[in-house]
Amino acid sequence: MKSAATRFQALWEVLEPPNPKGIPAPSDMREQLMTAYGFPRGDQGIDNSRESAEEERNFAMACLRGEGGTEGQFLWESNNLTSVLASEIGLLPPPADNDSPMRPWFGGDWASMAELVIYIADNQLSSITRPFGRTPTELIRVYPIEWDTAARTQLNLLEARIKLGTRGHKDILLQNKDAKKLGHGQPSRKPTESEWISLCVPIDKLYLISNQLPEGPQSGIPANLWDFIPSGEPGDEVT
Amino acid sequence: MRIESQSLPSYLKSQGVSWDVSNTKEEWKKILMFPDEDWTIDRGSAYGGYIDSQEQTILDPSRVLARMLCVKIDRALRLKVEKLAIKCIQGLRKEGSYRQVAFEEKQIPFSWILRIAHDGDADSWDPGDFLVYAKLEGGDELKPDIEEIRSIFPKLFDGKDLETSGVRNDSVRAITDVFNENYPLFLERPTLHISAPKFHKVWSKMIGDEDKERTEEGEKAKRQWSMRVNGLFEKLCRNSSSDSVMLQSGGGHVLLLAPATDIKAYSEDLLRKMRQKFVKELGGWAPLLYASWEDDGVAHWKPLTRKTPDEIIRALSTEYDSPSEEKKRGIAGVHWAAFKYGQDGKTDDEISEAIKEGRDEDARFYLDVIGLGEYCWPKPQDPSVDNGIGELSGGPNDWPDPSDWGVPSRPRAKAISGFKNSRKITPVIESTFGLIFAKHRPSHIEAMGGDEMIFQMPSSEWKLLLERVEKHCIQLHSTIFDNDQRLLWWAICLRDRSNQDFTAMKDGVRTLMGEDRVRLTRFVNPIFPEFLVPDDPVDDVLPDDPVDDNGWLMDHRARVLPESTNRCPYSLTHSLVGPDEDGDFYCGDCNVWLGPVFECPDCGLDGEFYCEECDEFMFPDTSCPDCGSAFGDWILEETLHCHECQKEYYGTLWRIPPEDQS
Repeated sequence: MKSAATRFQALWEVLEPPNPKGIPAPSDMREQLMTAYGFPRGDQGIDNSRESAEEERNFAMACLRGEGGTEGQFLWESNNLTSVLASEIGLLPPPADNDSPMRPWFGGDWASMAELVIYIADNQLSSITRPFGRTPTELIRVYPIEWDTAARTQLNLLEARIKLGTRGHKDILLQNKDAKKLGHGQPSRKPTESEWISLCVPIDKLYLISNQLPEGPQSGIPANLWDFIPSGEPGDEVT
Repeated sequence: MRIESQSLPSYLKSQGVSWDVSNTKEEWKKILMFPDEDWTIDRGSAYGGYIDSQEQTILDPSRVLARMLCVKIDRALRLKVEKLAIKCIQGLRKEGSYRQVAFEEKQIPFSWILRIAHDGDADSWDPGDFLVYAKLEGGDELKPDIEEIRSIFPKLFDGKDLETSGVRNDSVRAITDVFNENYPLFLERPTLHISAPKFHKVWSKMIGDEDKERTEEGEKAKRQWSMRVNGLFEKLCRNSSSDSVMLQSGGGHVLLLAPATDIKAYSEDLLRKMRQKFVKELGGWAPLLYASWEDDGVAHWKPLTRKTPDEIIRALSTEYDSPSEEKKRGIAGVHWAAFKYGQDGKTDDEISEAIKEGRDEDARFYLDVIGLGEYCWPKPQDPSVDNGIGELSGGPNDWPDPSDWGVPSRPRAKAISGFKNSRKITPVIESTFGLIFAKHRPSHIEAMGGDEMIFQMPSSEWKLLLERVEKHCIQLHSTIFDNDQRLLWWAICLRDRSNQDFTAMKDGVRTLMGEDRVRLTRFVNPIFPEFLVPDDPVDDVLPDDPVDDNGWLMDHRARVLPESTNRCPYSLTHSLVGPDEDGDFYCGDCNVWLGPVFECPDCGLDGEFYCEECDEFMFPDTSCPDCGSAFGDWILEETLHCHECQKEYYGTLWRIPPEDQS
């Protein structure tokens, strides 16, 4: 599997194409989105056929209707975006050699992923060229991070710099949380030793949390609504 | 109006409550003591055409918002309460008391102290004093709530000082005194956990016929009972325990501060009284009742004698269909209409239209809390310390009498912790149900029990429903519910299906989504009905099903598995139970008979199959579809391997008679 940073970049470019004037080909978007989620896991290629796009669309639409697909679509790897959607739902088993749990980039917001899958499939099936209309910061919940250890740590707050792909960064405050015990004789890992964090909402929707807090964003994201990813290698747990 | 604790005062005002000064104080006392299931406000003449339904208690928003406020107060005052408790314990130590006080006992909800005080003397504390105390000692979190109460119920605060902090403030001093006087009583007296447990299992055992349960009448009766049991249980418990303080009630569980007496004899007597009242109220029957205290407990159960299961079903089903019950279910929507508040959620217009597929018929929606029992009342890690019977296997007729199920007992600290958890999650559940009423206006409510709601609304609202519940949960986790985010709700949308038992499905999904496999930051976990239908495995691997010597088709139901996944074809499990005394294996998850004796534990003979229908011995005389080699060696490792090519298969064999082969 490619590195988490590479996969994050691939996802970002699906949602915010580098060339703002042109919309990438559906096959390119499909390939990038599958790369972002660590597919294909084996040697098989990606199926960019029309039939495959129809299957993707039908599966995503059925999920949005509340019907869903078959066990096979949810549980077994395929060579198209049904596996990406199944990963976001959380049912597709992790790769056999994974030591860590998977963390889908949208945090399990499968409905948004279904819409993205439909968008890509429609682009192929109907040759439409409209933009997707939703940005990475409206959807992604797992981000690379830098900790500002020199900054304030009073009031039990941590200051973090979220790296936003091509958009620079955003500084946020987080209420501190305990170190994680990793087990198997490994030492605990503190939040500030991690290089990726997972939020309960995308960056652009942090207001849903901060609007509830007495001092807004200055109160920090409550510790129960964010998590640091403790793996040794950055992004081991990502997707 | 938003569904949050700050809306409580304005909601009360909007309902036209005609409280004078005295009423106002009494009602606010009830609010601050974490209102019971049956607390509802007198809506007076402003209640329009619903005046006959005044007594309804189904999801009254005033109770839901009041409980949200109490939980918010708990959270804001947590450190303060702990400090007061420690100081109090130190004082008791100086007086010679050396009782060990658990951490959970130091962080009790303030409302328990208020209830103990109120029980001793109804005028021992003033709600205005407590609100001032909460504002000054609870930090910024509570200020907006208290200010809102003051703006709408100013008389509560007459003569109160809202500025001076600490003991120089009369209100702070008064409430501190209330704590100091009553906390020792809490420590001195035993706590008693009363419950009407195992709702589903007791119902099944009592009816004793699964087919009868599944009839329309049977399902209605169970729904009616699920909506009625908690309020009735609480009322009868209160009426039977006047010498105890009811510290908290909700969800079919009551925590009593019992008198310092022989707790076992007291509990047995209490359950006996409760049963008598149930029998009187229900016309001849009562649910299973438990009482447990520090590491011990008693149960009370008697089999049906005066009523038949048919009579119980008929009575409850008739009650369910009665106009007054129909109105009660409907009126919840009227109450929650004030919380519609704006428009949220968005779906691409084209996708929205495609989802509707030109029709937008009502579907049946299920929403229920994931693992509520385990969250509040977790099983002990060491089963030997649990008196409970554990999991019941087989059907209701195989189960022992409920009086033999054993009462799971807990240390006092664990019981307190369970009630605190219950108290936190109850407003989360109830306000989410309220959200559905407010935002979706279901056309029909089928059931609304402790952790489950079944309702009908247009199927196209599935996605919006999920988005709204997600947003609501985020807001609650930011304010009143401080547990870590987790998958909290199962959600199901059923079109044209009546299948209602998703137990095996849920268990399977739970296994697949274990924390060791995937971490998700959403709150709602969908269950897709189509997922219940396994893929047709025959198409995948075996182009020509072999025929045995008698012309019977050997339907393999086998397919090549990706990776090395082994599982039951009808479930999501990876576990296998068996062999039993007949050498058969069963799915560890859904208990489906898997048929094959992979390897006889005695003689080592492997590869035997039995017909699912007639139990006739069948030998696996077919061959590997991949390499053509005979399936001679079936290797037990929860997987079938071809001995030649080592490909893996799972499955059972059915023999299909020639006349049934299509």
